[in-house]
Amino acid sequence: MKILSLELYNFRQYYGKQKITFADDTYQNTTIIFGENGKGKTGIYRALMFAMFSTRHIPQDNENDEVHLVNFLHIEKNSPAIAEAYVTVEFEHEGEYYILQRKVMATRINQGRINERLGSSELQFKDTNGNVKPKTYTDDEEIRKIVNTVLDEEIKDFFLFDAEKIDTLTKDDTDIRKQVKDAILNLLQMNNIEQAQEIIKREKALIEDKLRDDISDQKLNSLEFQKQNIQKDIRSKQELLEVYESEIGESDRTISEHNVTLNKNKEILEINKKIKENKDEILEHKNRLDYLNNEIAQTHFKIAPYLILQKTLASNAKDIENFLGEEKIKVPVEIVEESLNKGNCMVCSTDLNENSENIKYLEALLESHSHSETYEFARTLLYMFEHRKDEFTDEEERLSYTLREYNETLAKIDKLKEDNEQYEKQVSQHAKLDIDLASIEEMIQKAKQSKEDNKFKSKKATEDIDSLEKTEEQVINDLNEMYETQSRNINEKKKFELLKNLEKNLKNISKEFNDEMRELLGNETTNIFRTLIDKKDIDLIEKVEINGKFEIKAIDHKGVSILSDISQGQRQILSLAFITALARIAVKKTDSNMIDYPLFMDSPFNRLSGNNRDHLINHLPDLTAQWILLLTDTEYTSSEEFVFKASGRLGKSYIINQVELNHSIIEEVDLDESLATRGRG
Amino acid sequence: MNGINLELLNKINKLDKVEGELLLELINMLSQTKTYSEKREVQQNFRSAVNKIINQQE
Repeated sequence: MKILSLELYNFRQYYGKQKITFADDTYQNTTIIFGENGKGKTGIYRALMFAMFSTRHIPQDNENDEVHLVNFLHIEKNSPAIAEAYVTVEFEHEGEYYILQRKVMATRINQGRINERLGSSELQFKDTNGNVKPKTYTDDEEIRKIVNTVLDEEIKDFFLFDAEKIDTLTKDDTDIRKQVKDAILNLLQMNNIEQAQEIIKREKALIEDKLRDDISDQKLNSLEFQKQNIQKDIRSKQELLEVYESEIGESDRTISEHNVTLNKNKEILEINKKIKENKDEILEHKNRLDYLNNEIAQTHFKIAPYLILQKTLASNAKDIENFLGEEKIKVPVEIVEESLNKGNCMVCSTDLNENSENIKYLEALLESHSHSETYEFARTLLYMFEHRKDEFTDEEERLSYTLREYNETLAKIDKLKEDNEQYEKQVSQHAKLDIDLASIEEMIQKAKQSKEDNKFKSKKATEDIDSLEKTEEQVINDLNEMYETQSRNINEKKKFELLKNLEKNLKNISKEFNDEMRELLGNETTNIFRTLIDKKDIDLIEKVEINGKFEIKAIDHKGVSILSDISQGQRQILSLAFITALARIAVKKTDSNMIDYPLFMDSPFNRLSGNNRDHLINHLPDLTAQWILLLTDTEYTSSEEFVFKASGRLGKSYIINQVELNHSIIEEVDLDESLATRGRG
Repeated sequence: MNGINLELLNKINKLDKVEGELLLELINMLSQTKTYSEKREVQQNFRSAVNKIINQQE
C-alpha cells in the first residue's frame, strides 16, 4: 500500500483547500512535513485517519474529548449556514488505485458551541491511466470492508501512528499485550485459524448429536456426561488461570510503578546526601580558610618590612660590599700593636727590624685601625643581610604557597555551592513525591509475594488442565470408537471422520504455525533492531522473543529480560523493529525485504538520540514501501536535514505555515532548499 | 490484507487434498468477514461444503 495524496478542505487548522502529494518512488520514498508545534502537523495525521477509517479520534485523544474537525474560521465565515469540510485520500494497493473522500459538517449553535456531524463518504477507483471508474461506493459499511482489505482498521495504529506513543507497544501492560497479541493474530492470520477451529468444533458437535441419537448404549451417555464434566472443569481451570495471569500482570505493574517511585525517591535521597556531604566539605574548607588566613597574616607581619625594603636592602648590601672592597685584614689590632712594641711579628715570629718595610706595613695597619670599627659593623651588617635574606625567601615562598592554597580552597567552596544549587533545584522539582520509602518497599514485597503465589497457582492450574486434557482425549477416543462402531448413520459418520481429522490436523498446523511465526517474528525483530539502533547499542539486545502469551521480551547476552531497563528511545526503536518485522512476515509474498505498507509517523524523533535518528534516516527507507514523517523544528534541525539529503531517499518535503489563527497552509519546498533554516527562521 | 500467509498455505497444502481445500476455503471465508452475522454465514457455508464433499464421495 502507498498513500499517494491527501487533500484537506477546511479541515482542522487548514482553511480552504490544501493538498499533499506523497513521495511514492521505490527509492526516493520519504516525505517530510515540517511544522512547528501547534501549526497543524497532527491535523494531517488526523485527516488521514479520518479519511481512511472515518475516525474522529486518534490514539492520543481522550475518547471523551470533543474533537472538532471543521475549520473554525470556515465555520465563522459561513455562520449561520452549514460549514462543510472534507478530506480526500488517494492510495494504491496491489495495482488498484483508490480515491476515498469523507465529509463532515458543522454549524454554530447556542452560546458559540459547535455541532458537528459526519457527512457522506465516497469511494472510487482509478485505472492505471488515471481515469476514474464509473462505480462509486457510498455505503459506509461497504467502504469499510474494502478499506479493511487494504489495511485492517484493527492494526492501523501499527502503521499510522504517533511515534511518541509507539514505545508503549513494548511496555508491560495488559491492554498493550492484548493489542500486540491481536495484531500478531490478525496480521499472521492466526485469528482465522482460531476461528476455523471453533467452526469445525461446533460442526463436529452437531454431528456428534446426530450420531448419539442413533446409539442406545448407556455407556455412551456416561462417556458423554464424563466428557462434558471434564470440559467444564477445563473451562473453569482456564478461567482461574486467566485470573492468576492477570493478577501476575497486576503485580508486575505494581512492582514496576513502585520501583519507579522508589528510584525517584532514592535519587532524591542520594541528592540530599550529596548536598549534606558538600555542606560538610564546605565547612571543612572554611575552617581551613580561617587557618590559612591566620598563617598569611602572621607571615605578612613577619616579612612585610623585608618585602617592603627588599629592593633597598639588596642595593645597600651591594654598597656595603663595595665599601668593604678587598679588605682582607683579619688580624686583631692588639696583635699589631704588640708586634710593633716587641719588634717581632706575633703571628709569624719574623724579626721586624730586619726589614723596615715590614714595620711600615704594620704601622699602616695600625693607622687604618681608626676605620676598623666601621668595617666590623659593615661586615656584621652584610652577614645579617645575607642570612636574613635566605630566611625571608623561605617565608616568601611559604606565603606564596599559602595564598595559592587559599585561592584554590575558595574556588572549591564556590564549586560546591554551585553544585548544591543545582541539586536543590532537582530536589524542589520532586518535592511533591511521596517519600515514604519504607511503605513503598513493603508494597513491593507484598506484590512480589502475591506474584509468587499466583505463579505457583498458575503452574498448578496448567498441570491440572494438561491432566484433564489427557483424560478428555481418552474419553473422546472412546466416544469416537463408539460412534464408528455402533452408529448406522453412514453419512454422518463420514462427516464426523472428516471433521475429526480436520480438527486434529488444524490443531497441529496451528501449534506449528504459531511456534514458527513467533520464532520468525522474534528473529526478524532482532535483526531489524540491530539495523536501526545506533552502533554503540547494537549488542544491547541479544535477541527478541515473542513468548507463548505474545509478549515481547528483550533478552540480553546473559539471558536476562531487560525490556524495563532500556531507554524510551531504545524502546521506540524496538517497537518500530517489531512493527516492521510483523508487517514483513505478514505480507511475505515475495523475496523483498520491504514491507508493503507505509509508515506514517507523527513526531518520530522526539525521544531519539542524534545517532539513533541518523540510523533511522539511513535505514528505515529500505524497510518500508513509504515513509511519511511529521516533524517539528526540534526534530528536523540542520543535522537531520543534512543526513536526510545525504541519504538521497527524500522524495518530497513540505512546510506548514500559519497565516493567522486557524489558518494554516501547506507549501511544497524544493528538495534543494533548506527546510530546517526556513522553519527556524 | 488479501491472500493467505505463505507459510500457512504451505502447511495446509501438505494435508490430504480434500481436507486441504476445505480448510483453505474456510480460512479464506473467515479472512473476508468481520461481523457476527457474516461469521454465522461462514458456519453455514462450511456446513454446505462438508455436505458437498460427502455427497460427492457417494
